[in-house]
This record gives sequence, structure tokens and C-alpha cells, in this order.
Amino acid sequence: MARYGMVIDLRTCIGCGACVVACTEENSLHLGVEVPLGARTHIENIEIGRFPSVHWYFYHSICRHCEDPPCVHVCPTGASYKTEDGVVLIDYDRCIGCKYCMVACPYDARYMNEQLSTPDKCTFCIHRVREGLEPACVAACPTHSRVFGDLDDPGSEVSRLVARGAVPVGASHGTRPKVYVVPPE
Amino acid sequence: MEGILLVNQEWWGSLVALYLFLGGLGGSVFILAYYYWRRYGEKPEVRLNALVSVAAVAVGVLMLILDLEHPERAFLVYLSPHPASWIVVGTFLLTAFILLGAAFTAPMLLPRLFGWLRPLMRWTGLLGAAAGAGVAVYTGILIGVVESVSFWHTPLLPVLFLVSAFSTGLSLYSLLTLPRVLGASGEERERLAGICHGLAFTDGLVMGFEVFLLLLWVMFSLYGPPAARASAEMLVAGPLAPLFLGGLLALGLLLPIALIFGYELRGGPTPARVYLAMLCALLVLVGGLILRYVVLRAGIIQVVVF
Repeated sequence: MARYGMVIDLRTCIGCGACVVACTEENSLHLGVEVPLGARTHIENIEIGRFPSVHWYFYHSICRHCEDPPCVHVCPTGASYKTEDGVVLIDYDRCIGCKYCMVACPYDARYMNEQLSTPDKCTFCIHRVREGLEPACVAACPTHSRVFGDLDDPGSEVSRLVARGAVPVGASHGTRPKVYVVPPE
Repeated sequence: MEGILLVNQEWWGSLVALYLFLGGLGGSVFILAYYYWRRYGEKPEVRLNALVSVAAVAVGVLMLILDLEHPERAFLVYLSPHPASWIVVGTFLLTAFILLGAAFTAPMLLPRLFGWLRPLMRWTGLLGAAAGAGVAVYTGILIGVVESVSFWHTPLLPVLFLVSAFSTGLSLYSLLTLPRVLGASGEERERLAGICHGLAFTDGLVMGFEVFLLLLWVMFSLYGPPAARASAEMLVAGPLAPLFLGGLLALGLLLPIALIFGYELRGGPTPARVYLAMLCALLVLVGGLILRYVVLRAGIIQVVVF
């Protein structure tokens, strides 16, 4: 079984937002209901430093598909669950809409899907991945800053980036997130 | 250095606050009703309080269900429960409480129909009281375990909620008993006044402890992680300060404590004292509801960005 994860390389990210648009387009079409722009993943431009030494930091907000996901832990019906390949998904028909997962996620990764009346979030485009494609955001990135793959395969690009020091941002919550970031230089 | 974003949780609001309030309240009132039933037998105020306690929790559960985005699927918590979730634990506690509470109350209200449950009342009452305590503690644990909101994630919170639940329970029991003091005479009046005296005295002490816990919790939060600090600041100096400092601390705790020890307990049950005691009880109840509301509203998630 694979253990899917993502690395976001902030050395090369230019903050263009192609990932955000591709995500909305892909998932709105797949679900048949509109995914609001930036709901599943978005970029926050954070200014760091003091003039004249300032720069932008592009924070990518996205579900971390944690190894130990609090959203799955608190879900009363098992609607939030983790697949065998480590992707955290929502069974919309089983969700009662208590919103405990939204309160419990330390990454603010969930949004309310108004049409389905359930929480919703990034799925790592599992419908594409199962067909051998990359997630839409990864495929759309013009600078190859989002990399997707199997963290258990030492030869995969994600594994190599992690081995070279990509960090799981927000790991201090103890959830063992599987989205890593290569810090900007 | 860690960079963070602070996000105010906006998913749990008034309906959940009402549930947290009613759950703790009903659980505690039932414990008191059982205690006084063991002591005095089946008295009108025992009957009324037992009924109100079960009704309060039932209404609380209704609030929880109404807060769901899919209330029509609520039964899935029974059919496909995920036991690690505190909501599942809570659902079974609430169900047990309502069933046991109803089994305890029914023979007192409808003796002809439910008289056969009378021999079981000692046990339905005892187990119902245990479930009631569970319900009261659970309201604090439900949000106390949420690690993402540092303001809630403290062992102080379930204790504070339990203490506040007990205090509101004492107040409601006395609020429902006080009107009978005025109508009664002789020994019965003595008995009822004695009950209300005991309830007020206990409530005064419990509220004193609650003030201590509340201040301790806010101060720990002010020295805590940035999200907890921001939450505590919302309560003491931000948009929730009028509700927290005015509604809860001043009107819902300090004033009732002052009135209880300064006036209410210093003489016999004159009508003025009885009305004042009713006002005190009402203030404590409103304070209890405000506590749950501001705690939910001040929930802030600390998102680590680098």
C-alpha cells in the first residue's frame, strides 16, 4: 500500500495561485457542485521581516492528511475516515453535520460544502490518483513546486525531498501531517 | 521561530451553548431530586424537579440535533457509532440519562400507568443520578479534548463546567422550590425553607469555588500559547468582555454570592427574602448560559504556518 503525501517547495513557489484555480475547477467538475475558490487549498501571502529587509512567505493551506487525524478521531459516525493509502476522506452520506471535525482540525483545512451540507476538504484528488494521474494542483503548478507521491517509496521524489529536509509544518500538534514544506531560502 | 495564524472557530454557537448549559443543568437537578427523594420521599417539589431535569436534558439534545447540518441522519450515531468520538460517548450517556430519568419520574407523575416502575425507583434514581453526573462532566470533556483550540484544551475546563453545572442545578432546584415556601405553613414551610437555605448556602460556596476556577483558567490562558491568550483577551478586554465580566462574573456570580451571604441567609423566609432568592437563582442560571456561550465564541484555532 502506498502512503501518499505531498511536498510544497517554497524555494520555487511564485504564489501564482494556479494550484488554487485547478483545484476548484477539477473538484467542482468531479463533484458536480461548486467548490468555492480557495476552499480546499489556498495561499496566504504573509509578509515577513521589517523594511527594507522584507519578503513574502507563501503559506499553502491544505488538508495535511495526517497519520493521526483529529478529524477522524472525533467523528461520531466514521464519516471522516482514512483510506489504506493514508488519504483522509469524507463519506458524505454518513456525515450528520455535527462540525466536530471542523472544530478539531488544527489546520483549518475544512470548509462547509453548502450544497451537500457537510464539511468538505482536499481529497488529494483521489479520483485522479486512482487513475494514475497527479492531483490537479500538482499537475497545474508551473514551477513544479507541489510534488505528490508515495512516502513509503524511498525512490519517489517526495521521499527524496523529505529525506533532504522538507518539514511537516504544524507537526507540533502531534497529528503527524503528511504535507511537507521545503522552506524558502 | 514559529509563524501562526489565529482563526476564530465559527461552527459551534448558540445552539451548542444552550445544549452544554441544559445538559449540565438537567444532570445536576436530577441528582438533587434523587437526593431529596431519598431524604423526604415523594414531595411535590421533588416530582417537579425530576420532571424538569429530564425535560431540560431532552430539550438540550433537541438543540444538539437542530445544530446538525443533517438532523435527519442523527440516528447514524446509534447505527454506525465510532466509539473513539466523545459525541458517541455523550449520546449514550444522554440516552441512558433520559431513559432512567423518565423511569424515575413517570411513577410519580402518572402512578396508574407507571406504578409498576415504583419498586425500581431506588435503582433508576441512583443510576440516573450517575448518568446525570456523566452528562454534566461530558459537556466539559466534549470541548476540553479539542486540542486545536488551546483555550479549551485544559483539564480545568471540564472541572469548571461541572462546578458551574452543579451551581446552576442548585439554583434551579431552589427556584422551583421557593414559590412553595410562600404558600406553605407550619412544618412544611420549615422543611421547604430549610431545603432552600441549604441549597443557597451550598450554591454560595460552589460559586466561590467557580470564581476561583474561572480566574485561574483565564489567567493561565493569558500566560499560555498565543491562541489561548487571544481567547482570554476576548473575554477580559475584547468584544465578549461585557458578557463575561458583566453578565457572568459580576451579575451571575459575585452579586448572587454577595446577596446569598449578605442577606438571604441572615434571617427567616420572609417574602422579600424569598423573592430575592428567586432573583439570585435566576441570575446564576443566566450566568451559566453566558459561560457556555462565551467559551464557545472565544474558541480560537492556532494555525502554524511556518
